[in-house]
Amino acid sequence: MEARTDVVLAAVDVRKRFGALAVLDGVNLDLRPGEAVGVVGPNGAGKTTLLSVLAGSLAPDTGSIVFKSRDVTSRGAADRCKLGIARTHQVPRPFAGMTVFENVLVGATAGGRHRGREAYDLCLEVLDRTELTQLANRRAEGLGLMQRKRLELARALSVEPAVLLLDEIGGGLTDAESAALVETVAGLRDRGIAVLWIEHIVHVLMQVVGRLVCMDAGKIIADGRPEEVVSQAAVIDAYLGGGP
Amino acid sequence: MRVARWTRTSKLFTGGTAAVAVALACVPLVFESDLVQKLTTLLILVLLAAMWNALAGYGGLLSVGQQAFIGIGAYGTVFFADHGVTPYLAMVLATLLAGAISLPISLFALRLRAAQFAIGMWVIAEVMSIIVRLDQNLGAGTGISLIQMNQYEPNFRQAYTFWLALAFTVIFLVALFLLLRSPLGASLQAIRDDEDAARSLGVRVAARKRLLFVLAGFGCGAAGVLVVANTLFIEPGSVFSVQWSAYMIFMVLVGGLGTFEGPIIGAILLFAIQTTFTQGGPWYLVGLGATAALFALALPRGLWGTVEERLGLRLLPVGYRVVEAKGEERAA
Repeated sequence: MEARTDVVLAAVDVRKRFGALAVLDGVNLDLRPGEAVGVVGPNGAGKTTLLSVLAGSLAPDTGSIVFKSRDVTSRGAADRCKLGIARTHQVPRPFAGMTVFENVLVGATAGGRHRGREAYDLCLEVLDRTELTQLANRRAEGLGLMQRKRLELARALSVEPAVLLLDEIGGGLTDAESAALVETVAGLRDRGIAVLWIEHIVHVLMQVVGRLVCMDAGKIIADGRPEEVVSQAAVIDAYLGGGP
Repeated sequence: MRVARWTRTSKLFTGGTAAVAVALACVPLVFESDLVQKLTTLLILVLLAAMWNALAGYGGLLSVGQQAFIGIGAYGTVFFADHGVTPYLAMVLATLLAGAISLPISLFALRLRAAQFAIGMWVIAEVMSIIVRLDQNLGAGTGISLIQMNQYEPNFRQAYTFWLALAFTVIFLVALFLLLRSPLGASLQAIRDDEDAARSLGVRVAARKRLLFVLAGFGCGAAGVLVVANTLFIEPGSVFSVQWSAYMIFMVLVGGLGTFEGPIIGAILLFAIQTTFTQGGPWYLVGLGATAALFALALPRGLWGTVEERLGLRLLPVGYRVVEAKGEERAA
């Protein structure tokens, strides 16, 4: 394994149970700056739970989360966001009564600690990048699902995170839209941001990630170069329901 | 593109609101003390509605125990006046006392969630009421007068009290307005809409809620001070009554939860109803409750929330508009 100082975010032997069900069963995962990592796996594999534990919205039962060599396991979601870990939600959670611009402004001011003109300019730039400028003054409750997903991404970007955790933001996109999303993620990766992207649509993931992780029943069953991971027997079994 | 916060309408209206405040300040110079006393009651309602809205509309904190602070303000005034403080100075001290007490209460109360918090606050108010009932110096259960106010000629007293009410209302509304316009304002509205999502964008939800709780502690304390200054007699059964919470909920729900303007409209409406149905009685309360329930079902945004949504009107601007910068070409 390479030197750990290079790692920006790590999950170390993370376990989480919901009642009798082990949703995360000893997960170890490292993320490096400028690395885009895809996460695949069947429903219920623990992907979203892992993301929530990394983001701090869910506390693990045991194990720890390390951000830039600091143990952040006990820090809540707000603190972790301020440190530089941003996430999107699988089911978009816009601030319904606020405009699109104001939604993004929350991330820029609270998470990103920007003020005044600086914050406004950042938000306008993020809205432009996510093609939301035309909707800037619209109340978020009036947005369609795809627009809500773009808003999820825009809010997370406005934090200017070091680590971006994406939870199924590509589902249902047209080819042109998913191409634009791939381009956005590639741009972030090239700027040195670590991206962890959960997605069911593997062929979209394959266009941008340099590493693919497959989860099943709370465990990471494969972790490596995308082409190798998708061809592994265990991964195919997990998806097609073969099993030993 | 650039960001604008003021529009021509909102500038005019905010200017108009300031002008109304100045005009109100002149009322005691021109009108009878009867009207002055009624307007004092209206200002108390506006203040209470704004504070309950700050708690529930922005912090998601549904309290049915804000009468605890009303009581502290009212009894604090009597307490300080009994200890030789000039009545009007006693009122300022009692307001500060209510605000100060809200901080330790928040350490306990904000640990409770949703319905627990609502009931917990009610319990706190009842406990305060019981403490007062046990204290002979505060008149126990039978009530006490603010006799020190006799030193003022009634017309002057009414005027002073009205000016104090106006000052409190302006101070707390301006403070809330500036708070909502500050960078914290966006965070507070985010908490209103989705607490967990706000947290994941870096909003320290607990600290923001505490800020609102303490602000509302000061504000409701100020309202309690004004109650005793306006009526000159208080008893635990009335100042610590849960009816205050019912009024606050009514004004905010009818006016528009989570809007700045709505609760003011709700307060004016409640005041109009109270002055029309002066007999009061159970049917009046049933009517209030039914109206609030009807609004919750038919107009969940309340009067102002609905107007704001339909017309896109913002009179006292706490939000942001993205507009095209001067000289910028219209985007294709």
